[in-house]
Amino acid sequence: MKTIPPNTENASGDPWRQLAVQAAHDARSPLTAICTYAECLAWLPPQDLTTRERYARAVVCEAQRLGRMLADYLVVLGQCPPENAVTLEPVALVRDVLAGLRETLELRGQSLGPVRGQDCPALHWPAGRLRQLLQAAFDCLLTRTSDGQSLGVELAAEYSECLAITLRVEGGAVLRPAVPTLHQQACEHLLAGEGGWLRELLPPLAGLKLTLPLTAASARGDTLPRPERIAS
Amino acid sequence: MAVASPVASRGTVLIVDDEAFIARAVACLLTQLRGAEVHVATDSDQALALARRLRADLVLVDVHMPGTCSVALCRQLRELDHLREVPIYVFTGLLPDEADVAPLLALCDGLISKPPDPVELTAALDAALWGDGCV
Repeated sequence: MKTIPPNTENASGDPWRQLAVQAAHDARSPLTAICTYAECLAWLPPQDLTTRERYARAVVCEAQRLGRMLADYLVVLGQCPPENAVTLEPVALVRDVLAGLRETLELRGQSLGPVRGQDCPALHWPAGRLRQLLQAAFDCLLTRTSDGQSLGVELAAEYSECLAITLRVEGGAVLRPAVPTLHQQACEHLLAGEGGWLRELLPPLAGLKLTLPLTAASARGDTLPRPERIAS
Repeated sequence: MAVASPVASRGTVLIVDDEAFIARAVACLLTQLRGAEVHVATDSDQALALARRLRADLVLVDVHMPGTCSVALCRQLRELDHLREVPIYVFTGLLPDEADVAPLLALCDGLISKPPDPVELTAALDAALWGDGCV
């Protein structure tokens, strides 16, 4: 069992402590939205049904984001349950993940651009892991995307045995967070664990590009090292 | 437990937070509970432009904002004549003893944690408008 060292002066550089602090920090954003909108709901006149519904939807969406964040935290801790690989059609999977995030984007005044991808090769990946990877990548960007911007996705074969999924913020760049968020760390972990990698589109962070091997490392029986930042 | 009940106090609040959605949630609460006029800035440039234009009664500043040094921002806000005496609070999910928070706290009047306690939040605004006696 892994334990997080106590909060001492000497522990400030400890990666596990840093991860716990980062997780607590990141979780406070959705918690702020949930608590604040719930408080607003309590004081809202009962007849204001439109605002009531908007606040309630915000509470649900942010609670879902908090759930995804907890799942990402477990991934970064190395707690990924074993999962068998299946054959997946990537464009359909991306569209399905985006459909689940549509309401969150709408509440933030953001929109979804087109999902472009023709003749994309199929992936042989653990479906749950790939879904979480895509959700973490979208979460990573949507918290940094301003009102009026939209999120576009492009899928294309890359190299001989890879698929590139590019998530681009249309209508302006977003700034790189001062510290990689839990969502981004989970993304890096999930990709690295299956033999893929993540790049930030510059400047300064106009999106993310995920490069995935068509067959996940776990499906080949390979075990790959974890990313440097967490493994140290 | 104390409850933050709606009271019309008005007041103008500037929230500086890179995650606009979160800032807007807090804005809704302040507007609903106090009828406050709340403006949201997502980076230093926006914050300074708004701060010069507005006559804010209260400012909340997040600690970690991409491309923005919150300490430098607070110094610049303090240099504005009309903000010299205005309460500026650190608005963060970090603990007060985190390395990035301490230098900012030295320039500010206090810390409001995320998620904010509505009583604490409205008390900060009430105190800014009418002094500590009303809290």
